[in-house]
Amino acid sequence: MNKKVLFLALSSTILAFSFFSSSCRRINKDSSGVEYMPDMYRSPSYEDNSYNPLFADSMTDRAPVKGTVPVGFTPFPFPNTPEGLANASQYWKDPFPATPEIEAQGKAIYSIYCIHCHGPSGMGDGKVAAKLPGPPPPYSDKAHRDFTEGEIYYILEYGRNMMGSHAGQLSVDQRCKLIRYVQTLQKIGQTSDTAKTVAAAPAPTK
Amino acid sequence: MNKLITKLQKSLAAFFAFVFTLITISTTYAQAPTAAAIAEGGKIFHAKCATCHSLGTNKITGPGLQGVGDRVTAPAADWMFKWVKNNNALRKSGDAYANKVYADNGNVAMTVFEGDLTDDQVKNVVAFVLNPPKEDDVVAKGPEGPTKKADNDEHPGWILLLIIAVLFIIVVVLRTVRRSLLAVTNQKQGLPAPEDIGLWKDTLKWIKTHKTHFVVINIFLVVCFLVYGWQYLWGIDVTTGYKPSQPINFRHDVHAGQNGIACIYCHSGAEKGKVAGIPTLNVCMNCHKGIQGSTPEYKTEIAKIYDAAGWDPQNMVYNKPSHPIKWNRIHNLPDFAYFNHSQHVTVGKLDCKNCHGDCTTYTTNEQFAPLTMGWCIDCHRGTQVQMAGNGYYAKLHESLMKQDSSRTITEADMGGLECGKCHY
Repeated sequence: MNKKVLFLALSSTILAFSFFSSSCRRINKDSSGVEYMPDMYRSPSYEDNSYNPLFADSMTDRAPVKGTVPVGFTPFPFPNTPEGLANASQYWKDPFPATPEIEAQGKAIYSIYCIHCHGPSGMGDGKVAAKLPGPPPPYSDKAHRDFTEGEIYYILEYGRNMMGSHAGQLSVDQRCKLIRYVQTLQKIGQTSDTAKTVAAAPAPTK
Repeated sequence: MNKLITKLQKSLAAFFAFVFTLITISTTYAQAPTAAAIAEGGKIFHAKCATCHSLGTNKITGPGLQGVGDRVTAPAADWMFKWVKNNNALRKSGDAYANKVYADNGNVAMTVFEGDLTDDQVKNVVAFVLNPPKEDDVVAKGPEGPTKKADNDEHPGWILLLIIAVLFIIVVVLRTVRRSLLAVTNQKQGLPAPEDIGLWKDTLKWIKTHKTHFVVINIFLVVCFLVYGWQYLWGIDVTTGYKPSQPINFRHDVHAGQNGIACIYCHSGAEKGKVAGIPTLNVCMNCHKGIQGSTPEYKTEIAKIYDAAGWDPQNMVYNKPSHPIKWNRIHNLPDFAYFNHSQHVTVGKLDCKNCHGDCTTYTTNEQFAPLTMGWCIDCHRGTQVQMAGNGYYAKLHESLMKQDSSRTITEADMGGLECGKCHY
């Protein structure tokens, strides 16, 4: 009897101990586990998005030095001012032609960067738009369907109202292709659009 | 006589009908708008105005419209009609209040609705804004989906330690009990009490007398050691399922799942460069400028973004010092392995899910793939290269197909197993 109890006790101890030791990582979920030669993983060089004590803002990612331009990059020449907007909408021209191929590429970009707010056809009925205080206006309504390619680029560059700048996410080429697709959405249902959007809009919640 | 009565009745009915129409017309065009007009105005407000104006006091892009009827030049309905229809013209006409509003809101012009909305629609909108739905009429928006508690599948280690301690105490206690019982039986039989030789010697004595038990325990111990030891060694530097807590309880299931935001919207580096990138705060603010949270928990978490970005959600301006958020890195390749996101996402046309799992279900983000070399190699060997419409390496694809057009081309055929591709 005693032997049996002792045997049981001992074996359970061993089992428990081995189980415990094998699952060290699970105990502290903020630990990534055991590392062999951690200097291979936590390198002395600073990596993208990593913490950096050398800069006051503690970020490794730096903005380009003021006044410098990356090779092959043309900065947007129009400043974020009313005059800049007027000049941009008049003089900025999309280098890509409005071909179905470019528009299809633009649509692919649209479905990543725009669709969740502006909706699948630019009517302002995206999934996120329902959570915003108000939906973005349809591209095809009277106030927006006449936006020139320059004005659309200007908005992508600097943002407007609730929409922030997307210059950091979209490359210049992506923006140009995107504009060609947005222009097709501006043409949707150009007659009596107000009545349509009003009917399509959900009832006001507040 | 009867004729006269019918005539009288008819003329009376006509009179009442006339009065009734008059009343209807006058109510339509007088100060008190009909409920239908207000409801219609509400619809238009939500579609056209709510983008920039709330009905409360908070500013969005334009000012909040609570009590707007008392602020503007009287009569409010007339002034607002002119403003909504063409605020530009109203400002140019020299209206003092119109120019003040424009200046107060950072010289941001409101959209001109002339031509977009009809006069009646503008009137309805104004009627709605002047007669907003009362607070208790408004059905509060419920929280989006159930708020899942962070799943707690980690068992606390101290319970195991406690079990071990309790078992040891039981062993010691049982040994003492056994000894005193033996002493009592020995005394009854007139034998001398057993001498106290200590726990260690007692164990040795037990081993000598219980050889089978001892061997079985040892085998068990060795097997445990081998199995768990093996697993433990293979787990070194493999961090599958690593799921650290983050400074903000960011939920991929809400953003990528419920809201259907594409992965690349936030991780836009994935198709352009080496790292997918942790989105900067301006990307968060693209949506969270407007979305301040529907539940207290969400509000707390979103307030952390505002704090980091230096954003004042009441006045809708960046007016405080900003600081970066220290996210905890989950996926980490050692320095000696080169990995490039764009090469896999743009060139290889791989779905993010292949390596990161279905993020649309993650409440806290975690590591899905082991990121070991064997895992990389397995995929390079097994996955067929998507060559259709793929401009990258077109020549290589062509020459490989020339060699043997029947077989499938994998990354391994294109040199994906060369050491120098990733280690240099």
